[in-house]
Amino acid sequence: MVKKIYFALESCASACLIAVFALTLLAVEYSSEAWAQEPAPLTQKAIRIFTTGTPGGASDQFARVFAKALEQDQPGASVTVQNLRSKGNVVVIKDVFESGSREINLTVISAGVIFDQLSKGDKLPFDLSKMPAVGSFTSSNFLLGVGRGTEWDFKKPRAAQPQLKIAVHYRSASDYFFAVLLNAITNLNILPAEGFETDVMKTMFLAGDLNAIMLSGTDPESGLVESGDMKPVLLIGAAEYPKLFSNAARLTDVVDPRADQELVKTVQQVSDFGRLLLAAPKTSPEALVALRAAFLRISADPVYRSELEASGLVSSPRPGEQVDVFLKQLLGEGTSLRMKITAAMECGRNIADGGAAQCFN
Amino acid sequence: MDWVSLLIALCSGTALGFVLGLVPGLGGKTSIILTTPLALLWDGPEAGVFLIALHSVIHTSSSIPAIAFGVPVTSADLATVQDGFPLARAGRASEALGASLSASALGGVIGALAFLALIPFSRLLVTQFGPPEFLAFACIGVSLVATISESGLRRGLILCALGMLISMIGIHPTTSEPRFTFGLYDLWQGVPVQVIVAGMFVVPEMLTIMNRPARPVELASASYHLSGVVQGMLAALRFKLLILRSSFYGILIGILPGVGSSVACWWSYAYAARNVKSDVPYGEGALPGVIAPEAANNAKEGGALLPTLLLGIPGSSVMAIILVALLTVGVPIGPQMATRPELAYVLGATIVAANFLAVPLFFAIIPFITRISLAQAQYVAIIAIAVALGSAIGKTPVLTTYFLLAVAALAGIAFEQARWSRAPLLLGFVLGSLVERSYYQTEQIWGWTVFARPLFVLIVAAGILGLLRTRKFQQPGREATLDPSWMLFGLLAVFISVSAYAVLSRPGGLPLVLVISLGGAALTLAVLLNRSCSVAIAWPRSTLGPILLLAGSFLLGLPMGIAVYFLSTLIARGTTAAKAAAISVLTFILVALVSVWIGSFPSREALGLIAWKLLDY
Repeated sequence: MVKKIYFALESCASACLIAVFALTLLAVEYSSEAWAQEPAPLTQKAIRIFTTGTPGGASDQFARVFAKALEQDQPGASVTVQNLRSKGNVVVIKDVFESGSREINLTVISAGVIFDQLSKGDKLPFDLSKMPAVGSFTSSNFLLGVGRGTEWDFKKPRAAQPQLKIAVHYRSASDYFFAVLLNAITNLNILPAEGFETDVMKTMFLAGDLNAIMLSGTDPESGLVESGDMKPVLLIGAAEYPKLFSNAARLTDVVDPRADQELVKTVQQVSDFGRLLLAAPKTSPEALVALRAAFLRISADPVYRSELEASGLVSSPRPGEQVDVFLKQLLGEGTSLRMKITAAMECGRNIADGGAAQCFN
Repeated sequence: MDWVSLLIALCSGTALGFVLGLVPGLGGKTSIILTTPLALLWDGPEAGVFLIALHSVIHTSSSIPAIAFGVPVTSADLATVQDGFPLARAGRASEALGASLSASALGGVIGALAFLALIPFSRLLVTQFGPPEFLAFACIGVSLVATISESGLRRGLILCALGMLISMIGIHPTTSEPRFTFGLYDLWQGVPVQVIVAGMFVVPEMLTIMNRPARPVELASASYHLSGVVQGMLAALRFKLLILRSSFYGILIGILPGVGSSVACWWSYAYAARNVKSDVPYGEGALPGVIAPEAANNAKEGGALLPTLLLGIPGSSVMAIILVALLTVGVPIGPQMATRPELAYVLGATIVAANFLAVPLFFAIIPFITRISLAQAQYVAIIAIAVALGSAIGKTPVLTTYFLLAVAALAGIAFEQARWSRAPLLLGFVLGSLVERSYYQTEQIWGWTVFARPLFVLIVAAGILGLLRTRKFQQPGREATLDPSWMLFGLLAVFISVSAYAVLSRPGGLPLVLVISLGGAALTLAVLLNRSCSVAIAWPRSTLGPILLLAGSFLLGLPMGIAVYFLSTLIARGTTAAKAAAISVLTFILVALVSVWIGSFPSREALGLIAWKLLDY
């Protein structure tokens, strides 16, 4: 009897031991799974944001304000911003494009680089359509303004329009592309002169050497409107603009009804995207998902928005997926959109040179 | 306004600016970038006072390394080095530094006063000058070669053309297409000025100094040096008109957006060299050669504030950063400045006060600097080379920079050995981009109607008149230049290669590149043919080689020209096997070339493996 009791106790003890062991194993397994899930992908690696914008300019400011917000959003994450202006944007984007996955490398670029790739193609050592987008900031939403005394009526046919002489940065910059594309989709007649810096453009505009100007609708430009030197007449993007420019027409109101609507939408989108936050192609999918989610959270944060406002930046963020689709459509080899844009640009340039009357059938 | 905070901002900005100005490689822009976060700790006009005070004195202290060690901190100090460093080597560092201090302080004050006086006319002034006038100014600047070239006008123009072509490396200003980049993306941003300064100037100059017999240490008491400084300050005051004139140039260039401050410095330097007598030849330690650029350099700050504050148009990248900082702290810019005019006066007064505050700081540091500069030449040379190379590599830390430095240093040593003055090369490099940009801007907007602009015509006429009135530049005691044939052939090959590249690849701005490169080639040829027999170095043994080199360079670009030269040498002197190989390669090159010309190859890419890739065609 005693033996039976002893055996039963021994069996119970063994069973208990086995149960405890199994439970321990389960607990270890469970906790290791939990540990594996716990560390967020953005805290495991250093995050570096590269920019080549003017220090204190929109790209630089966006990178810094976003980096600060990202560190707060992801406690434990290390986010650094490096402005490598002296290396030039081609080299910096190339470095990010070719970088491995040891760190999470991001770069803030202006929409002008998209046009740079459109015009230079294979000469560039990177392909923006292969760089996943985290999102897009705004603040370079373009507008067209005219000088004092320039008569203005969108309804007039092109032949009756005054030629708008504007200065642009260079032949692959955003302002050049907007100028020729506006020729292609509206009845405007814009002649872009290339190779100007913004301050020289403004001086020439004030001196009356130019009768129109294309600028990004940010605070520093408000002085020209307040002094009455510039009348904003056309807001190219669909995004938010400072209130000062709100009386100007929107692009959709003035495009020729026969113009390709896809082109119109593209012009608006590029203006709206403003500054893009792109990641290296080798960024892990988990990190990319986390970055995109963080971008949307941060963009909706009122503190972040007020900080941008304090820096004079307008923010109408766009999610990374939307930017990705757009870049692939626009820059992908042989896509219909790319062909349309290329043809429209050529036609718009012809109009500027006095060689074509219109760009639609 | 809180006057105590303003005073703190003024003093701290001046002190920090003075220290940062001593660090080669930092320059005005980087210093402003580094200190803007500090400035933004103030939430009001103090931030502007801090940044403007800091920027006002950077050029005052940056003349110290330029004079004492021959290392320019910013590109605007390059003109100061021309005479400042020879003065220091002659044991007159204190005097040169004193003269520079006086000229800087007075120039700064004159610039600030001009800013305050011109506030009501700011718009009128700024809008009168456009790209045509910039082009005229830049062309006058190029004509200064006649004044600053110590090795004759022809050689000066050759190096000026070379400098202008170097400045064209990178992105074309209108088409944004890369040119002369040899497939290197690092060159898309162009060649940094620090590389040219370090390679072409500092390294050859210092190597020459190191090869001279060692000079005994000439340390005297600090009081001696301070008296030397005072002597220099008083000496500068004797050149009142020069200071006024240079300040005028500085203010004018400061007002114009898009024209670099170096233009003002060189302009003033050339004015001094043309019109102001000096006991010592310019380039060898003439005191007015230090005074003129220093006055212009500091005076331009007042001028640059005008468009920045009153029109919201920053005249330079530094002013752009200051503008953003001012906007961030809520200082009204542009027409809104009229609502708070006292702010404009405070910022103008900041420049005056900062320039005065810099004087005691200057005195405090001079004894240490002069002790080092009077130490054994070898030590100074090592410091100068290390600092110059460090600033060049620090600016763009990529492998290409090392390669560029090596090429620039080799070329600099060659010019130094031939006793060719390298100042025109620097002038061409500094002005090249301005000439090119303004030329295209003028061509697109005005074309020939540019001659209907009265101010443009007036500037051109004044420039021509000034050139005609240029006094003959005397160079007593200057050693005769050598014109080694290998160097001249090298230059000729470079110019012809660039011409060939321009014709074949048709980069944007073909006429301008062609004019400069063919002009350079013609001048080089002229020097080659007119070499003085006494200093001439014999032609290469075979005249066929150089002819092939030139022909190859013209047709295929420099690398191919060199290949053709060596292949022809092999054919002439090599073994039978080498001859056969060389003849085959040469035949292939020639057949490929002819094929391209007659269009039998489907495209130029077919030849890409040999020549076109090498020259980024």
